[in-house]
Amino acid sequence: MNLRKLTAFGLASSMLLSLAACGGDKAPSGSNAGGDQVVFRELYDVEVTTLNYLYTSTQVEFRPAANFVDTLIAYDEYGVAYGSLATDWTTSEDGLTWTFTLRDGVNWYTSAGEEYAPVTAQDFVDSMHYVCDPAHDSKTYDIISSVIKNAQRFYSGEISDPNEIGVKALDEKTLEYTLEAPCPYFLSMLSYVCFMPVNGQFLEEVGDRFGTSADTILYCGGYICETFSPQEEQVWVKNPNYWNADNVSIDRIERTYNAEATKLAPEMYRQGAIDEAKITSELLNDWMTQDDTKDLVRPTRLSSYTYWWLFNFDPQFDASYEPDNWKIAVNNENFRLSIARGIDRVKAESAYEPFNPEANLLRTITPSGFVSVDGIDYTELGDLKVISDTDPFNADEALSYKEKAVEELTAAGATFPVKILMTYNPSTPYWGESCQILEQQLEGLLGKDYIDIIVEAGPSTNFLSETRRAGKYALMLCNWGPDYADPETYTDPWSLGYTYNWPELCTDPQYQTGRTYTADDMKAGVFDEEKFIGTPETVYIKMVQEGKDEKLDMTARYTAFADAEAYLINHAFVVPFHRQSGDGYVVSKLSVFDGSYAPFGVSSEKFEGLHLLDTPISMDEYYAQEEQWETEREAALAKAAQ
Amino acid sequence: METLKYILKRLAMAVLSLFIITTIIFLLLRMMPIEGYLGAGYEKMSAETIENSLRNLGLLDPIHVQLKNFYVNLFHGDLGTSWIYRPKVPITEILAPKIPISLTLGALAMLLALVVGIPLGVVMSRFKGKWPDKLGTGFIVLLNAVPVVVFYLFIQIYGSKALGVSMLFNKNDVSTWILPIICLSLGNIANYAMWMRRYMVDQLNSDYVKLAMAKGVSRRDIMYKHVFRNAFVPMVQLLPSSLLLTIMGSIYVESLFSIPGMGGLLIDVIKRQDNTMVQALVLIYACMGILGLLLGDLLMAVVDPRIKLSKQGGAR
Amino acid sequence: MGLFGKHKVEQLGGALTDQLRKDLTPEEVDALDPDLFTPAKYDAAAAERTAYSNYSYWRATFRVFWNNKLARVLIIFLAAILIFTFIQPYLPNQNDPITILYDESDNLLKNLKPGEQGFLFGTNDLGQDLWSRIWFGTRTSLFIGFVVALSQCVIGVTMGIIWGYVRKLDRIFTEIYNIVDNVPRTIILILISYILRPSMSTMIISMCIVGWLPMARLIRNQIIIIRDRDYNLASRCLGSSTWRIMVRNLLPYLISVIMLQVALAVPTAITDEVFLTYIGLGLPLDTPSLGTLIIKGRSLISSSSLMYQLVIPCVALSVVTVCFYIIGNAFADAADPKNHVN
Repeated sequence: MNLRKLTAFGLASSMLLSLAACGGDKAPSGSNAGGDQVVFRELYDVEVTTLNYLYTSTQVEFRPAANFVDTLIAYDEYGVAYGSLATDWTTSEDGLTWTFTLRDGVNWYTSAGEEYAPVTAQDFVDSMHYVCDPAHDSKTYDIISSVIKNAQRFYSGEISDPNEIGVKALDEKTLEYTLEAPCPYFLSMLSYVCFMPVNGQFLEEVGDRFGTSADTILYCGGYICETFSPQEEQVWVKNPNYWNADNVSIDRIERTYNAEATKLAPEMYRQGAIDEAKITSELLNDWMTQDDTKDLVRPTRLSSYTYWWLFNFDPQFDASYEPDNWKIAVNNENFRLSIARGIDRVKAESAYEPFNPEANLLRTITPSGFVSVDGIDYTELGDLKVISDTDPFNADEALSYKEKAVEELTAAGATFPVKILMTYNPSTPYWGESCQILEQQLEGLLGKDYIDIIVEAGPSTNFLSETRRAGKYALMLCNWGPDYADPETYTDPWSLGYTYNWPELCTDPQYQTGRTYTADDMKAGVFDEEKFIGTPETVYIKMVQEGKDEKLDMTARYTAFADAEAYLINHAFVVPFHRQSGDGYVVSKLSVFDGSYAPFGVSSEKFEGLHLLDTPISMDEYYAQEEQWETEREAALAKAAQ
Repeated sequence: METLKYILKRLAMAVLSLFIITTIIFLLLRMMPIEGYLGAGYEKMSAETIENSLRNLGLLDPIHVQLKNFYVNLFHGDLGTSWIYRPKVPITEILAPKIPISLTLGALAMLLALVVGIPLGVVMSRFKGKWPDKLGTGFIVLLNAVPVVVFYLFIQIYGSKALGVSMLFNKNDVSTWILPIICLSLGNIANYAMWMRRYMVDQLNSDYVKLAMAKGVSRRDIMYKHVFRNAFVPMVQLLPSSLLLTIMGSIYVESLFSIPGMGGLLIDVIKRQDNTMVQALVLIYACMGILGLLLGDLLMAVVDPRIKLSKQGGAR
Repeated sequence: MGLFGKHKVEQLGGALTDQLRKDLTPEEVDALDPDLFTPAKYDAAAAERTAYSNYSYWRATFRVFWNNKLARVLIIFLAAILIFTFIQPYLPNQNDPITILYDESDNLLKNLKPGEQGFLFGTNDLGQDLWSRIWFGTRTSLFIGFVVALSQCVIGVTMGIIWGYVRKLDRIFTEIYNIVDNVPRTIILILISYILRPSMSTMIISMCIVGWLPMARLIRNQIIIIRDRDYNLASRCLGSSTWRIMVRNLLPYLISVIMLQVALAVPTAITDEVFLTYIGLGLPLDTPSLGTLIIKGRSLISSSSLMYQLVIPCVALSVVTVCFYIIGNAFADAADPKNHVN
């Protein structure tokens, strides 16, 4: 048999050699291109589908966008906003008009590195017109639809002149945005893709092909895409003419596509073929216990996507899971609290993060470090402070809530055990495993005669439409990510018209203000669907409205949001769980804390500021650096607040 | 003349089958949920934007209008543009560089399988019941039994270590071609060897061989002049199935080795619900299948004069 | 009897007597039973009985099969596995395959090596007992395999017989087959599994949809070969209904072909299940199968110390599929009447 195999090898190689001899060959592109160049090589498994940054809303596509095209405002390593393409900005007294002065000497470059044209105010006008045109089908249009004046009317065809949209080039270097309503967080939105500039003349030249290849976009950011061949590789080279080129220390980024990257990357890292590899939670234990690898693995920074369990107040699931019984149970606060206090979150998290589960856990909906006012973090404001300081898992409390719940529910005519349908998406890693752990732990704690958790896999396609939006769950892990730097962004899921858990349908009058919505409210734009006429207003929505109405005093505004958020948690509408780190654990030669930091927008996707290290930092070093970074950040934020 | 007529008839049938296949796939794809067309941003899209997106994709038209548009475009040689995999890029442009890579790899793998599999089968039949036969059978059974998902990965990780070559494919570096070609050919090696052995054994047991033996014809002559030739004829029938096997293998192998071919693409575009891409790929695969069958039949007639093409009908 | 004249019978008798005299001694002749030499009476039942040999197709098939030592060992082995998958959960000290195990101090019993702390196959990264998972998975996979094989067999055989026997339908069926056969079955498998919600029944349905056609074609080809044989022609002339001919005359002939197909369909279904799991259309977590175990184990391939989580399910799957392959082939050999003579 060996002989056979040998023959096979020999044969294959000789065939290939002759084949290669025929074709004109160019040297394989390795990491040693150029003498002192700093090259970063990585493997990626989700393909970038387009470079059209005005179209996409996908995280993987933000990465090239953020590095190729600059934004008006960017965030530094401490999350402090600084002018990037804009050098100066002012806002009118009514908060409706924002005027920006653009940086001089910033130019567009083609993928070949040739200068194309200067970046002007008109470029921002053109991009806004592009996004608002329904024919371009921009997936980020919704972000600006209610913010920029007349954007919505243009999109829906009510007006046809794009010049009526609230963005103007006053002169070549002065740009003016006009808003629908005052928006205290407008500045933070500018670091998002839909506010990136585009050269109108170039856009006309390439037409529909905009962003389909490396040479159909222009570059004004830190990197220029040299090669973009999907399913193969991407090569980015440093843009030497970038206005902040001194801050870009990695000269060349080579990204290779592999559908099985998570399986192959660790091995390829060992072979020295790449500089970064994700270590999945299955492999983590192995890498952490072996002497030669245990100092190489580190966590990645936590993302601002937060996850929480929701109780469904509008159960639409199959009769075999007893939706009516669930309705009785879920409207009982003690029942909800018994579960909220009973979930051992560390255990549930261990499926995602077996090594240091506590690090990812959240006690609030808005993560800490998201925004702060006068040096106080949002999660320490108002009623949220108590919540941030107490561990929600408390077995004794859970049992005492259970006792009360059993009594009240029996009186209300509920039957035990209460069936709790928990749905998960089988294509999301570790979600199902975490549900299994939770089922076992919670049933063990509260008793199988009290609750019966049914873990069920949803469809992997169309998951949310089939489960959450359709109300086909009782308890489910849901998530939300911020769009801009204001706690308001985390209030959406419990507002009218969102299909999360319908708190407005909770029958307990203590959660209602006593007012019901009328047709006048709809005219006033409180909601846009007729079915909400007659729906009672919830206390939560009223509390949120107080925050929304406060547009000048940030402390008061944030405190109002914090109180509203605390209300949701204290009454167990929401049980906060965790936030995930972007890539879990990695072995990586990239530095961490000198890159851009921003929980929203695309600044954090930039390679700008990052360095390539000789050896990866270890877990301990990571945490030490993180601590140092936090202290420095506090100082930086305090300085910026002045 | 007869042959030409036959080929034309077969090609006409092929066009009809392609029409039916694409229609079925087209209709199946329209049963896919809409969430998949809108990507990750779906969560934050308003009803208005969702409707706009679907309208831009043409999904709001009645199904027969969609189907008509599809065929009108197809008739003009326009496969359309990709929806999601690479929005707005013409499909022909996406596939043009990928098809030659897949074809080259597939052809090399099938060649390798032929060169290794047939002699293996011959050797096994020559030593029927002895250790080379047993070893070969073990090898074949193992290849059939262990899931390819697993042993490809083994070959990739440990093969690259053993040979000192890169784990990933690079079309400019010939050494990286070795492992994927070996992976792709293994299934066919097993197939060829198994059938070659079976046909050889059948021939060896047949009366004319016994007669030749009795007459004292040398064993060597019997093996190569008679047995091998006769056993090789039915092997041609395996061509279509080995083509399909190679296509199936390419789905795994191309995604494992980062080969920018069509195989890895198929699953990707189905998952992304890029309908136009799926339709184009299915069309290509179906064409390959049809051509493979036709080629198999033609070759059969070439190697075996007893077979007349025009009379042949029915299922193979 | 009446066909031959009395004269002929006498002539035959005389020749026989002469022959016996030549071959045997007079003592031996005397010892013969005189009854043998009187003409037999006409017996209607005996007349129906044709040339008798003690050859029975089935007995011979099983004899040849049983003589294949390897097949004999494997079929016993397979039967043992099959029985064990069913009794395993009822044995003492078995863990539930999906329960997550903690020790007394509430630490997760994760990634234990085989044999550690009494876990025969160790535990996985979630702290589940691999031993019971493997058995549960084998049971699931075998269940899928058998259900798919049987339903393919029922659909395939029915359609194949109709296809082959009813000439009017032959052309339509053949065209349909030629069309569908041109699409790689993988594509159909993936598409169906995507459109339906991933579950055990989806998996079985999609595998059946792609699987019955080749079976039907095989049966059809066999039927065409047998259909016009003389005994079928005769049966038709005598007025047997189409249905009767199909069920009584054709089906028995096909048993060996069908058995082989069923034996080979089981491993195919099991490998298809692995494939569907690989592309993310596998079974939910609460029903471990060999596919889910293997795909889960794949992520550990670069770790030599955890590789057992991949190797064990792979071995289990390989054992099952190899058994079916060898048994199926041995049975096909045995079912071939040429191999019955020895």
